[in-house]
Amino acid sequence: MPCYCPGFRFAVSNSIKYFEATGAFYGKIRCVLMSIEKTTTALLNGLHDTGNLQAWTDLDARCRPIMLGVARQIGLRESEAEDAVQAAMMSFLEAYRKGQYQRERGRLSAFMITILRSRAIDALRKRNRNHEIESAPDAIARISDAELTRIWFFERQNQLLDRALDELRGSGTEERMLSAFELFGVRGVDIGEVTTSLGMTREEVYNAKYRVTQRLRPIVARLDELYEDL
Amino acid sequence: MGHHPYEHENADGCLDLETLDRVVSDPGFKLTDEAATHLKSCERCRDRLAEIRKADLFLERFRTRGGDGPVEEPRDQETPLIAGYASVVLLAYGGQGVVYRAVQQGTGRAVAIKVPLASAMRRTSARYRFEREIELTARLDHPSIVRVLGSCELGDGRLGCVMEFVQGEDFECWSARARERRALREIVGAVCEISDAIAYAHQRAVIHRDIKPSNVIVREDGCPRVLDFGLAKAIDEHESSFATLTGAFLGTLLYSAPEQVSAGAGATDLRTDVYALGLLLYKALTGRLPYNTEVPAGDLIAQIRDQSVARPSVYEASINHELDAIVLRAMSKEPDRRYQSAGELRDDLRAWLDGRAVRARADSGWYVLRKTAMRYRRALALVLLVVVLLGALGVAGLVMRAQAGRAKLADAVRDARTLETHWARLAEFRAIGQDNFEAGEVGAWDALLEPEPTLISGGIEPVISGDELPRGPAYWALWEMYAGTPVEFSLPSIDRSMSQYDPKTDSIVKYAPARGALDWWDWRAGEIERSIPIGEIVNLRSYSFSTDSSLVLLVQGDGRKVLVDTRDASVEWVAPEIHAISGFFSDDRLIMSTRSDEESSEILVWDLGEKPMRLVARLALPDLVKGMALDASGEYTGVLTFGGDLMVLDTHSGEVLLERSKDEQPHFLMLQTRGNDGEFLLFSGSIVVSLDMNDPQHRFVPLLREGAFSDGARQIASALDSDRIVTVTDRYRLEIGKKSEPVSERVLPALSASQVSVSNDGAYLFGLARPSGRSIALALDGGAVRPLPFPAEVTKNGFPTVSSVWFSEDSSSLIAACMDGSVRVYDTRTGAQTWRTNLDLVDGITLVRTTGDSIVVGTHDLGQAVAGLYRVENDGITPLTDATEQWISGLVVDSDGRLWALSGAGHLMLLKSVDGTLEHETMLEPHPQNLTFRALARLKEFGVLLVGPAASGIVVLDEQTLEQVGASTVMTPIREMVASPTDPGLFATGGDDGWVRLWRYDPQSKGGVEFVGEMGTHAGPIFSLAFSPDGQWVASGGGSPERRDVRIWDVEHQHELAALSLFEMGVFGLAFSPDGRYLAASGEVHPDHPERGGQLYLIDLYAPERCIAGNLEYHIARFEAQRGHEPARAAALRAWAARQR
Repeated sequence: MPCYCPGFRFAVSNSIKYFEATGAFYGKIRCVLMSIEKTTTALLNGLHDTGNLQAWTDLDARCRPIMLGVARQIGLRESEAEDAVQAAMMSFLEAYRKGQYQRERGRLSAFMITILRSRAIDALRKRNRNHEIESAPDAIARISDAELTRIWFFERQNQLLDRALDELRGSGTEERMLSAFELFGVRGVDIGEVTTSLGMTREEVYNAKYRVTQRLRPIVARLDELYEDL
Repeated sequence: MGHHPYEHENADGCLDLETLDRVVSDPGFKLTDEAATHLKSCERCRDRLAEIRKADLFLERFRTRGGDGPVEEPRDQETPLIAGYASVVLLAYGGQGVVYRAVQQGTGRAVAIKVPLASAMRRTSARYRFEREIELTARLDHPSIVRVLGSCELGDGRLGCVMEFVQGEDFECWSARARERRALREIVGAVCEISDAIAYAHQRAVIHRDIKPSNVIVREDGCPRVLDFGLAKAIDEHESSFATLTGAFLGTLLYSAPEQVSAGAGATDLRTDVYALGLLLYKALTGRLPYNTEVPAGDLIAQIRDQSVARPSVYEASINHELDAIVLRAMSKEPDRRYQSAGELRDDLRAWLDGRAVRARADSGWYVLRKTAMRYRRALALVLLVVVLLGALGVAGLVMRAQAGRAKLADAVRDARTLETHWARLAEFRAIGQDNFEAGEVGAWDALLEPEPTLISGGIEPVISGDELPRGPAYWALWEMYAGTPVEFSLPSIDRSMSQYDPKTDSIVKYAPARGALDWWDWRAGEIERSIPIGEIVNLRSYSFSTDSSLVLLVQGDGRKVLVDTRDASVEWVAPEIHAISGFFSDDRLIMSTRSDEESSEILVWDLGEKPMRLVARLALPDLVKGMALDASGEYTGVLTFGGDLMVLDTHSGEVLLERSKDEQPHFLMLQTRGNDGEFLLFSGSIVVSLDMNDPQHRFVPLLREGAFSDGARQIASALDSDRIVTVTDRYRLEIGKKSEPVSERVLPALSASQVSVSNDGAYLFGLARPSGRSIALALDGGAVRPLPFPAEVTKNGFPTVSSVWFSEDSSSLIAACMDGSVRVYDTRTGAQTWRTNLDLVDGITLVRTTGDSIVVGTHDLGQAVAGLYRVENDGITPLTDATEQWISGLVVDSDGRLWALSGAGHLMLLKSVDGTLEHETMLEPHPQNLTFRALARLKEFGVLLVGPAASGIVVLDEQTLEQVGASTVMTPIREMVASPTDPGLFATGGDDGWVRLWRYDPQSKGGVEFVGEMGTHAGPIFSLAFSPDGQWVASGGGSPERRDVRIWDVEHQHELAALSLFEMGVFGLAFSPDGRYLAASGEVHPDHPERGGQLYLIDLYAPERCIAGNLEYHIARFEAQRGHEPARAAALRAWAARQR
C-alpha cells in the first residue's frame, strides 16, 4: 500500500506512523541527526527561506525543551509552562519575522529569555486572576537575568548531554557503559549501587566513566558549536 | 595526546583508576604514604591524574543536571525483552520514542507497544506524563480511537504503552486516493466518524490537540482510527498536561489553530480540535492547505492567524456551498464563531450526508466587510482620513460652531450635575454637625508624643518606638526633615494612611472622619490651624498635594477621589463614576490611572487650570497600570503596566511619546522619578536603568548592572540625588549605586524591604525590623553603610544532622534533636550548650517538642531502631507509645500537656500527658498512592486536627476522639503543615512542588478548606515550615539541590521577605521562639560527605549583630562513624525498651 510521508516522517513497512521524527533515534537514521548538524545561525537564516518550515521545526525542537525546563524551574506548573513556552516560541517567531531580533544586540538565548520571562509572568498573572494573588508574577520578574541565564544554561547542558549520549548509542557504545557513566559519573550514584544494579565490577564502572567521558568530549564540543548563541 | 586513564592501571606499582578518581573527586580521600610517594615519582600516573582532572572538570558542568534518580537504559534497542509478549519487532520510531509490534502471549493478539526514548524519560515529570497519557487514553473506548490495552514493563525497567495493532494507511494517503475517485461522500463520512471519536474524547474531558492526517489511520474497510493522544491534555487539569511529552512542538505548525500560534494566547480548548478537524476535512477535500506553505515560518503563522480561508469549492468545484460553510465554520479564526464542540461538527456533517439542512451558514456580508476593514484598517483609515479632511474643509466653520455650542451645553449639564451631587453631599455632612468633633477623635498632638524619644546619633541605633508600628507617612516625612541632625524627637503612632505631612505649610494634614473635615495641624503646638469640611470619605486611601500645596487629592477606598482646593476651600468629586487607582499632580494637570476590568485600564489627564476641571486626554491600555511617575520637570509622565510594557506621555497633552513592549526590554517592576529633567528610573529586579527622554533614541542607561545585585531587587528606596540610588533587595541587602562608582553592598538583616525610605538628605535609611516591629535607622554615611553582621553560624560543619529544633516556653533555651540520637540544649542568650542527653539510645530523632519541663521526641525507624514517642529526661528516655511504623512525622502539644502524635503510616495517637497515658488512637486510611503521612496541624479554635497528605488532600479529625469529621480538598500533595497561632482557621502548607500556600479551614464552606494564596516557591521540596508567634510570618526551609535556603514570607501581603541562603543541604529544623525574637534553623549532613552540611543557626531577629559566632559547643560526629554504631545502639535500645515494658 503506498504511503506519502512528507518531511522527516518515515515510511515503514506496514504504513503505520506514530511519531514525527524531530530528533535522533539512537543515531541509526542519519538524516534525523541532520537537524542537529546545523548551527543555530543556519537555522535562524533558514527561517527567512520560503517553504523551509523544517528550519523552524528544528529550531523549535532545539529551543523548546530548554525553555520548558526553564519555565518549570522558575515555578510554573506543567500546563502553564507548556502554554508559556508555546506563546514564547510564537512571540519569538513573530519578532524574528518583524526583524526585532538583531544578533549584534545580544545572544539569542538572552532574547528568548526575555520573551519567556514575559510569557511566564503572563501565565502567572492568569493564575493570579483566578486566586487574586499579586505577588507571584513579581517573584518571576525579580529573578535576575543572571539567574535565569544560569537556569537556561543548565537546561541547555541537559539537552547537549542527552543528544551526545544518543549519538554515542548510535555509534555502538555499549548501553551498559552509558548507564554506568550516567549513574556514576553524572548523577553521582554510589558506586556500590551502580555495580549491583548493572552487574558490573567497580573497575568496569570506573572504566566506563572515563571511556565515555573521553568519547563525549568531542561530541559535546561539536554540539556546543552547533548550539551557538543558545 | 596524554595517556588514557585506563591504559596503565595495571602496570606495576601504578595507582589504579579508582584510586586516582578518588584523589580527584573525593575531598576526604587520603593516599597512603606509599601511594603518594609513587605518584610523585611516576610520570605516567601524574599524566593520568591530569587527564582525570580534565575529565572531572568536563563532567562538572553536567553534575547539577536535573534528574530524579537512576534510570536504566535499554540494553537491547531493537528487540527488547517484554514480559508476556513475543515476536517483538521495530515498527516505527521518532525523536520521542519508538513503537514495536509484538504478539501478546496467551491471546496471540498483535499489539503495538509504544516506548519513549530512554533519554526522554530521564526526568520524573516525563515519566509521570507518559503514565498519565496511558491512563488518559485508556479511558477512551471508541470504535474510531486506537484502543490502549494497558501498560507493560520492558526488561530494562522502562514502561511501555500497549495498544491495539491497526493495519491500514494514514489519512493523507487514503484521502488522496478517495479524491482521485471523486468519493467526496466517503471523505466526509470518514471525517464525520473522526469527529465522533473526538467528540467522545471531549465528553471524557480529553482534548487531542494534534489532530492531523498522520495521526489518523484508515483501515482497509475504510474505518478511520485516531491515534497518538501523546499531546492530549485533560480539560481543567491544572497540575499537568501532556502537551509536550518531551518538548515536541505543540501541534504541528501546519495544522495549528490560530489560537495556538498567537503569542498572547497559548490556551487551547475543545475548539482547537474543532479547527483541526475542519482543516483535516479541507485538506482531504481539496488536496491542499488553505495557506501558502512556500513562505517563511513566520509568515505562515501570520497567515494562520490573520488570512481568511478560501472556500474549498474554489479548488474543488464539486463541493457545494453547504459543505463550504461547514468547513469554513469549523475553521473560523475566532473560536467563538466555530462549532463549539466536535459533536456539533459531526452533527452537521451527518446532516449534510443525509441531505438535511445544515446549521453552518456563510458569514454575513456585514461580518465579512467588517473583518476586511479590520484587516486593511490602516489603508482604509488613510483613505477615510483623506475623504474626511476634504469634506471637513467645506463644513468646518459650521461644524465648529455647532460643536462649540454642544460642548458648552454638555459642560454646563455636567457641572450642574456635579454641583448638585456635591452640594447634596455637603448638606448631608453638615447635618452630622459639630457634635461629633472630638469624642476622642483627635486629641492634642503633644499628648500623642512618646514620652522618651530616642536619639539618632549617626550610628546604627535602633529607634525604639513602641508597638503600634508601622508608622504613618507623617512619621517618615518628619524623619526625612530632621534625620541627620541631632534632634531628639519621635512622633506617636499615627493612623497609617490617615495623615500626611505637608512640607509647604510644615503641618500635618489629617482627615477627621467624624466631622468629615480635613484638618491642618500644627504638629508642634498640637493645634488645628485650619479645617475644611469635605464630607464623608470612606476608607481614605491616600493624599496627594499639588506642587504648591494648594490642591489636595484624597482617594477613597473604592477609588473615587475628592479634590480640595485650599485657596477657596472648594471641594469637588473628580469624575465620580470613575474609580481611579492612583492620581497625582503636575502643575495644572491631574493624572490618574483607572482600572476598567481585570485586564485593562485607562490613563486620564485633567486640566485643573480652570474650574471646572476638564478632561484633556483619555488613553485605554490593554493591561493594568502598575506604576506611574512624573519626571522632575513634570513634562513627562511614565506609565508601567503589570505586564511590563512601558509608556511615556506628554503630561500636558496626554500624547504618547514613547511605547516600549515588554518583549523589547527587561521586565521592569518599578518606575520612579529621577532628579534630572526628563529622566526616569526603572528597575527589573536585577538591573536598574535610567531612561532619559532628552535622548533622541531613548536608550536605557544601566546604573546598577546585573551582577551588582547578588539577588533580585525589591525596592528602590530613594533616588538620593541625580546620581545615586539606594536599593533594597530580596535578600535584605542594601545596595547603593552611583554611575561612576562600584556598588556598595551591605546586608540589612531583618529589615522589611517593603517599608523602607531614605531621608531627603541621604543620610539615613529607615525601615521596619521584623518581627519586632521596631523601626530602625541606618546611617548611610555618604554612601557607606555600617554593616550589621548577619546571622552567625553557631555550629561548624561536621555537626550531626539536626532534624528538629524547638524552643522552651520562655524562649530561654533552644532544643536541638539530632539524627545521632542526642538531644542538645542551648542557652539562647549566650549560645552556650547547657545540656545534652547522656544516653544516645534513640536513633534518628525526627521531632522534638517541649511541654512544661519535659522534652518529648519522636523517632524514626531506620530499619533497626524503634520508631515511637519518647520523653527525654536527665537519666534516660521513657517510651510514651508502643513502636509505630515508619516514623513520628507529626507532633502537636497543647498548653495542657496533651500530645497528638502521627506516624508516617497513619497511626494517630492522643496522649493525655507526657506520662504516656493513651486516650485515643486510630489508623488513618492509607493514601491511594501510599504516600507517607507527613503533616499534622491542630486548629484549636475548631477542635480539629488536619492530617495529610490524604487521598482528598487533608483529613479533618476531631481532636478528642480522633474520628474523621471531614476531608478537605487540597490538590497538591503536602509535606509540611502549620497552623497560624493567631488567625483561627488559617494554615500554611509546603509540598514537594516547593510552593508555600495559605489555606483557611472553614467548616461551613463547601469542601472545608479554601485556598487563600500562594506566597511563593522554593524551586524544590519543602522540608520544614514554621509560623512566627505573631502570625505575621511563615518561615520555610527547602529548595533545589542548587539552592537551599530558609525563606520568610509575609502572611498578610503574601510575598517573600527574606531568603537566608545559609545551607548546603536540606533545612530540616525550623522554629521561632515563642517571644518572636529568635529563629532557629538546622540543616542535614550530606550522606556521603559528612564534612558538608550539618549547620545549626540561631538567629536573633531583633539584634542580629549580637549573634555570636562559634561559641556554641559542637560535637563532631561523622556520619560514617554513626553508621558503625547504629546496630549496637539499636540493639541496646530494643533490649532497654523491652525491659521498660
